[in-house]
Amino acid sequence: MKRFNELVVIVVFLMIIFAIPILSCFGKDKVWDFYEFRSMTQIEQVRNELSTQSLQSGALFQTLESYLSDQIFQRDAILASKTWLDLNIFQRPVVNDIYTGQKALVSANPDTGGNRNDLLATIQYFGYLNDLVTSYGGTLLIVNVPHQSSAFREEYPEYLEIDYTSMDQDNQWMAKTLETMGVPYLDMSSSLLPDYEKYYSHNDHHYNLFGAYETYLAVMERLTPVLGDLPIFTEDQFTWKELSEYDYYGSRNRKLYMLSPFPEHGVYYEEKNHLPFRRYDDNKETEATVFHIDEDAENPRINYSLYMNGDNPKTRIETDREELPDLLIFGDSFTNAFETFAYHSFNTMTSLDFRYYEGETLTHYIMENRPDAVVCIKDNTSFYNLSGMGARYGQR
Amino acid sequence: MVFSSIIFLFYFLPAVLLCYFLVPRKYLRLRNAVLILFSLFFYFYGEPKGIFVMIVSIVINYLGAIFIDKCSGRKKKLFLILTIAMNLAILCYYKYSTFFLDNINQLFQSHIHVPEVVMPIGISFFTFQGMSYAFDVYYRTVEVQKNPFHVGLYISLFPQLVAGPIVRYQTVAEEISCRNTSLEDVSAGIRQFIFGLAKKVLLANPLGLVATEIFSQNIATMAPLTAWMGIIAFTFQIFFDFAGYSDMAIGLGKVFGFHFPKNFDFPYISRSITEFWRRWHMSLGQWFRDYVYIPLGGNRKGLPRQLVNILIVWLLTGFWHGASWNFILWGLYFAAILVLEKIFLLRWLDKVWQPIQHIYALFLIVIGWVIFQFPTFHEIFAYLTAMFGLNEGGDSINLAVYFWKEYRFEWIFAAICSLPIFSALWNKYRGSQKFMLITNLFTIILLILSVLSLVGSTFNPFIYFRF
Repeated sequence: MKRFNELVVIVVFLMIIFAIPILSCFGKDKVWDFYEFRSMTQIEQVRNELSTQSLQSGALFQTLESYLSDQIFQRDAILASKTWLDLNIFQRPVVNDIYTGQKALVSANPDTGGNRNDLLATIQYFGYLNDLVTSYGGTLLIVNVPHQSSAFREEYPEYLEIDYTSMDQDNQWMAKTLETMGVPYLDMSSSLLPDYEKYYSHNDHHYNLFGAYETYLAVMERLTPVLGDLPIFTEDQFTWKELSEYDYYGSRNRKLYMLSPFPEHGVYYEEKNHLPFRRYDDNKETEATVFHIDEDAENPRINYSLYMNGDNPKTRIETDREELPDLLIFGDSFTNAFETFAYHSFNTMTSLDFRYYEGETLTHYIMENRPDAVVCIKDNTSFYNLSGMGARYGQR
Repeated sequence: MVFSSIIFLFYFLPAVLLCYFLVPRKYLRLRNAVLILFSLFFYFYGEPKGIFVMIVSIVINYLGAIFIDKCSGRKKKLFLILTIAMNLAILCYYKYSTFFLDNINQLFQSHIHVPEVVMPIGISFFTFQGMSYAFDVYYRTVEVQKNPFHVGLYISLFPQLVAGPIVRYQTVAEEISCRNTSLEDVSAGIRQFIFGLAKKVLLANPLGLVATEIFSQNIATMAPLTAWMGIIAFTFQIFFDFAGYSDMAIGLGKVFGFHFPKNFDFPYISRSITEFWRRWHMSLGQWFRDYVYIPLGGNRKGLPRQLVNILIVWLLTGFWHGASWNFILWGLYFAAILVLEKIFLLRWLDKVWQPIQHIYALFLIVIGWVIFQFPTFHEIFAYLTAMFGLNEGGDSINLAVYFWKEYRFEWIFAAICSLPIFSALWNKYRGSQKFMLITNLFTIILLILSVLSLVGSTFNPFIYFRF
């Protein structure tokens, strides 16, 4: 028994410290990690770092360490186990930067405001855009959608000191300033926040399809008086459907290794009368669909990419109804779910995501194509800088 | 390279264990060669340029000891002084030159160029080990070592290279040339290594995050509860970090057949500062006692001289911890308390209720950590005023509430592990095989949790995730 007791700790220790590196070496290197949403360090990066200089500076060893920790055997399983322990055994309120509330997962460190001078630069840019679009008879609409964390703000306990007062004041100030400047502006707070549990994902930082539909209706209400009667895609023309066989893997749940206590399923709709269209991603024709489920995948992961197949630099949908106006959308990923409805009301719908789009600036695109309506959809945390607005290189 | 890293635990350690134990026991020289090579690589990995400094240190102490041994009388003393001076010159250049030049420039309004010196890791430890070897040869406590590789192994041995304990040459001299590795030693060594790893990864690191976060807040408006929480977190962090590392070093030493001295003995249960320094970083205390305090006369030349000796030793102890005025102040702070304890406080303390003695010692230790942590007198003063509610105030205690809720297990276990509960159980029941089985199970759970935490610390989501 004594010998067994001496041996057991040695054997287990040696098994762990020898097995993990051996299994790591024989495993296939991972290129991308779904949960961390990033590229993993590859052996090529270590090889590329090989030089006397990097050896002396320690850079080689840093890259090596990054490679070894990224490619350690069963990294995801180890991290998932730790997350499970943190959530369930240690009962930590904040795990992997996510706060688990009573109703939803929210960011533990959300953006709750910014510099008003930066906001002013954005407002001035919108003023410029409005002048540009109205100069040829078009119409601009700026849509401000509350971010999921700000929608679920009541989830936060007092001790996390999450205070949206400053951002709310900034939003009100932005609304007033844009109104003074004559820039059409739509704040979705009053429509979405009263029933935020219905309109927002409990596991993702976006609204859900219901929130996107509510936004679509509000946008159409603002555009119709300007652009004339537009066909509105009303609820009697489609049926809401739930992908109940798949869990909805939101970005916040992903950070918790899918251990969210809030079960959720992806939602889409089925048209009663199909509207035919052609879809182009980056000018290449692709499958004419606005909902994407990779059912062939071994483990289909339904997340916000369900809508428009995620972020695309440029998406264009043509419905061949030339009597209808053309729509240009720009903004952030909140546009994706919105687009699944918006194309029903326009001849063409083009969406530019300037976080990825490397073509012309927004100014050039607008002046070349003169869309009848230009709609900017962004979340309320993202107006403090011009990134993703097509105003790069200091150009307007 | 640090012990609590993936590269050490899963690559370096298996490699050194494999190479070391593949060599048959009878070829001890070859085993020593394996240890030297791995130790040099261990150091090179963490400090590629610093390796030359360590090699120079080995050469100086090896040759210095040979000359000290060969000579006698004044010549012998001269070689000792020369060897010590060279060690101190290395230490001063790499650790203290910036501090000295900055202060000279400030004091004399001069513009002496301050070179950018990168301090080699563990320089305070290996130079002190080197000096202890020279002293021991001088005092004839040990035989001079003719084999340079043995001196090299003593100074560079990777388990105690970076953070101690400061091992005296006489402690390992025999084991370098003749040692046996028993199953009991390996098992006990691994157990101690795992306990040390758990102290570092499961307690010191998270509580270190708490301390860092609180220290980065605005001290002027900080609530007293938050300020106390920050410094108590630091009190736990510095203990579990240092004691954890020492445990890992001692444990690894046992695996390879070396028996390093204990470095920490539950310092926070002390009832006086005198007792605290007998329990905290014991190997450093012993070094200063043997090579500074006693040669200065210790307590043999009357009370006034003893008090001066205490002052000198603690000035040096403070300065050893870092090249900054706050460390000097920290040393003098303890010197003052120790002097007072020597004169009357200890006698007074003996008469008071035991819990008061503990509160007295802990309070002074915690205040000491404030001096240790903050580099400027202004910050030290500001933090102390925050702790006692004498600052502007105004901040809520929300941060403290959050850190309690987030790390409640760490707080509780840190408090428990600061007490000798497990060691008392160990001493009482270690003969029982059932107790050993439970201990082993507990050890394995700690190892698994530490591995999860180590890998978990590399969780690094793309910044976009912050939304």
